[in-house]
Amino acid sequence: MAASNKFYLWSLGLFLFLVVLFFLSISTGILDISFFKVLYILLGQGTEGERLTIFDFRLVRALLAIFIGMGLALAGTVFQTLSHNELASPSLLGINAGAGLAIILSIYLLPLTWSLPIWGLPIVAIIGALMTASGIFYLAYGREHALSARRLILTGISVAAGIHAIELLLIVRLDPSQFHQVNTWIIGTISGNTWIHVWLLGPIVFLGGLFLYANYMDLNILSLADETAVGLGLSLLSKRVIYLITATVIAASCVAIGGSIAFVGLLCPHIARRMVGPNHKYVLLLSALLGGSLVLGADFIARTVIVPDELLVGLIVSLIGAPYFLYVLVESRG
Amino acid sequence: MVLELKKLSTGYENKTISQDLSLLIPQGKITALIGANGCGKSTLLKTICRINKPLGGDVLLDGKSIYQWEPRQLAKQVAILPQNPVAPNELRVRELVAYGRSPHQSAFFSRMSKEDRDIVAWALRETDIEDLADKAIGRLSGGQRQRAWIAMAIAQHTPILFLDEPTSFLDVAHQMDVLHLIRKMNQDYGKTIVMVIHDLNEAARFADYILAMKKGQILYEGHPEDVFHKAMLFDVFGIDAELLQDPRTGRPMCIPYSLRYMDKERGESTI
Repeated sequence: MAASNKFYLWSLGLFLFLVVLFFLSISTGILDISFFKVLYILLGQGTEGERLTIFDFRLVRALLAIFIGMGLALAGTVFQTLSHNELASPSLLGINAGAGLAIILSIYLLPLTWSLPIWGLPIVAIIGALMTASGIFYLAYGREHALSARRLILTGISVAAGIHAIELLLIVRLDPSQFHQVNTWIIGTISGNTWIHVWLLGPIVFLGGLFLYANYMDLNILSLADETAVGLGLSLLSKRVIYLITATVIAASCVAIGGSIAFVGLLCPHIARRMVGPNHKYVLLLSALLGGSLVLGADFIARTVIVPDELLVGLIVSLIGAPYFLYVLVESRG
Repeated sequence: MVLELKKLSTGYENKTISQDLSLLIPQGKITALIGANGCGKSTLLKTICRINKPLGGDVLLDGKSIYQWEPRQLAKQVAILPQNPVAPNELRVRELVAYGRSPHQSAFFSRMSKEDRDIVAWALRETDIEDLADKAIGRLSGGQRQRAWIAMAIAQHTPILFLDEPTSFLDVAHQMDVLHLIRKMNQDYGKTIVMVIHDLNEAARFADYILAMKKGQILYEGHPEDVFHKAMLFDVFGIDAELLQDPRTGRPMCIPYSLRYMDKERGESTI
């Protein structure tokens, strides 16, 4: 079957799956609300309490889960393409590490009485992630090879390792409540967010994704060897920088709001490519749909398995992600 | 399209390989760049193609420095087939060839026009890989893969084509296929072709013009009949050779002998 037909089938299927998951997710919880009632409430009906539950808790949460999943998957796709490495992911470029360090520092340094506004933590995390990523780009920038893939990966790994060491040093000095705050963030959680976060993240993921899609041919060509890309008229350095920054901003925003949810950026591009091959015209959207479904699904599971308590969403994603990768490894061995 | 090197110096940050090369690439001809390993021919090719930065001097295309050309405009004039091209294994041949059309498409939301599709079909036909069009690159044999890459390069539809060792790693039958294909591109479409090639007899047989390099400098240049002689082979490669005439094409050809192990081979050296 041609890649385009496969793409239409898969994307339609995944889209429907995501829609079902979405309604399932906002109608399930401690307060069970039927599907039709949900539609009814979404149209502005229902009691005050129902509207609060649906709009301010579940809708925020479901939308954020989708955006975070999509953003991480998109960023992962770009990182894997630019580094010519299928194991690259946002965490590889120090984005999780940088965001984490910024958050720990802000919790550690700021006096308890001086609490950040609700959108403060995401901004701190984005700044931390961008600073780390630009540091890594700078270190990886060689004179003869414009941001070579290998240098980028090696620098990313070593800088992330260094930052994790610093994080560990700081974490042991936190008091229990501060530690709890940091730990929740590190594993990843989508609860406790508001519409402000949705309005912060939604446009970044949407516009970033649209920009990447508009340039899908550049990404295709960047997945070839450097010589070929130059021969096809691509300015390697400027293009790499543009797409790296786009992906970094998307990933940093997701990490800032959802915590460092691992595996999404690694897993989704991988599965998307298995479905439709390496053409970004198809991979980007499929990867985003997979990411949205994965995080929304994981969040749904995290909320429902041990009601009224809940698990952290990052835990569920890892529980799904790790076996998949082991499966891929075992399969590729034979 | 006139391609000219003006006092071009190539090399790397702290190592100059070629100094002040000036030459005019013959238009509408096949030029073969020959020389021993490490003589700087690949570096020269890469510098002319903008892959490596020059240490000095300039490369002029139609009188304008290739660094002043807008990259995508340049890619409509010059196509490159690198030595070891790499693509994702799962990429289909047709998709790869279609990438060759990208300089001709709009930068945002690239779409294949009717013309693009026709040219991709033409490129697949010329390289005789139509039946492989829906196969993944990773599943092709070496010869098929090389033809797929040539198809991508010719789909770029440029008057100038650079090839870096297009026949290395191919068996002799596939080498002939590729070289005849290159000649066809030159004869039927008037493309200017510059190729780095290791096989001296292939160079003498298929090229109209030979550039022989040693230690970064062009020692000999000219038509194969004029420069393909014992002195050139000795100066450039440090070998002794018997020269013959190809009974079918009339082109010169050589049988090389090592100078170092001369006594191991019976017969007399003529040097």
